[in-house]
Amino acid sequence: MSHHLINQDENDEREWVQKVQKGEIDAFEVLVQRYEKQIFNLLYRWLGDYDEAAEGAQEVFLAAYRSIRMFRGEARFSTWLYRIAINHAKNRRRRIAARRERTVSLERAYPEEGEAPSADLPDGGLDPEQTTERKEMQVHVHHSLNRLKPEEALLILLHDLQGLPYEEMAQVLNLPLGTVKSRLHRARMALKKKLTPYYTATREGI
Amino acid sequence: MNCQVCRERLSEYLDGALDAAKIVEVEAHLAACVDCRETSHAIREGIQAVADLPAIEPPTGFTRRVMNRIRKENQKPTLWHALFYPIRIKIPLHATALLLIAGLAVYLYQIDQPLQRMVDREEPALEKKERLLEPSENRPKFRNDITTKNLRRESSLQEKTKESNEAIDLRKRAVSPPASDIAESDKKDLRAQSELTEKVVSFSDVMLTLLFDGPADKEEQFLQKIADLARGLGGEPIQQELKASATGRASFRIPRKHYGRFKEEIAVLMRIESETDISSSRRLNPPPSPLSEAEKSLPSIITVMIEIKEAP
Repeated sequence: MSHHLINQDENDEREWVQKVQKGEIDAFEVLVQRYEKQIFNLLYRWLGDYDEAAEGAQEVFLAAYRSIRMFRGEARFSTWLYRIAINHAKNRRRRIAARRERTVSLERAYPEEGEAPSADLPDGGLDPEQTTERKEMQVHVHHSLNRLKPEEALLILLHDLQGLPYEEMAQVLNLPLGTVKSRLHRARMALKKKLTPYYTATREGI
Repeated sequence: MNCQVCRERLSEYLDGALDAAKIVEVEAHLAACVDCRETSHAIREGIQAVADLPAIEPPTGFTRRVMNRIRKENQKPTLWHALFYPIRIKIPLHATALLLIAGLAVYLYQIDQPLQRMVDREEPALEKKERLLEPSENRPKFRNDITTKNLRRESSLQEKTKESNEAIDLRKRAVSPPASDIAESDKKDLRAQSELTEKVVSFSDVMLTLLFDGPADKEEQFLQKIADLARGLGGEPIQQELKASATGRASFRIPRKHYGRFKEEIAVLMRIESETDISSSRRLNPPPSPLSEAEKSLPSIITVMIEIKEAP
């Protein structure tokens, strides 16, 4: 899934941003429509929860609107929006973790991995022809991503799910290019470690 | 090429981000090494698996809900909003209060001074009285009185010294060497401003009010981030004061030309509720000492006070 926009839209986008900055609220709708799917999917995969992602994505766009006057167009709007989204999602992750800690300490009977991130996944996104096996695989990948370190999962999601090039990732995460590359590699190795047993088991027909 | 080097390059290789020479090297190694070939295959599978995750549709009416909230937020003119809206730079209540308090402090300090002088003048008179009353039994009482007065005077003196020490500390901190990537010119500006600050320590140019929606214990980390940001832009933190439950204040000095960037970076982290140009109100209520030429012209370093409130 690569929603990433190509350069030709950039000028057009700058115009919309300027309109919003001048007070045209409706112009913001164009920007929301353009990015809602990307931001929502990033949050959904990173937070592992549909409702949290829906609420979070709304907050991200509100935050972007409230501070759009601060955006000075040095980076792309999407880069700036991603930064807001990631920062917001980090806070949300912390809150979810704190809440979960409380719940776990109250009800120790629940196993740690009882979150079932895809249990609430609506069918809409899935191709009806997809086999059960494929669905299972996707649920497994989703789970595996959620069990990585948050920073690792984020790098993988930005690059392999959202299709951000290294350079934009460096801007979004405020990291040097080399660091982005090496960390992405380490993250992929970590994901490989989680996925390999599953692949092996599937191949052997267990 | 050994296995370690090959593996480090695998990610970039699979992304097609290596140059031709390196691709040849990696491929030569992969042809010869079963382990690395398997690793490469497994990484590729992982990349593919993530890319194959289906795109999930946001809830129906997502855009409409976002836009409704934005429109609602934009059309609730409160009394204060209505009162201050025509003024280009809004002066929020707390900024006004801050100025009033500052004014009151100056006023109180000034009316305190004549009292002090009165105490000074009083003393010799008392001593005279004392001599006159020498044989009387009232004398020790007077002594007590004088001791108390002197003590009081001493303690007020001590307090003043403490205050001025603090001010010196503040200045010292202000002159302390800033971050590494600060430009030479900024440094000079900073030094000039530091000298200026000795005269006008308590006045900020801009006040940013931020709404913090993270957990209270992360606020310090957040202020640390802003401090790093300020240093990165050639500025520096001046003071910081954390209060309970995610509220606090901090001041920073920032080169004027980087202020926009500073604000933009903060906006990514937190919601900026208001921005008040205090320097213009400062011009309305100038501090008692006359402004020097340097102060009248726009300083290239500005002082930003950041006030953090808990998001509702």
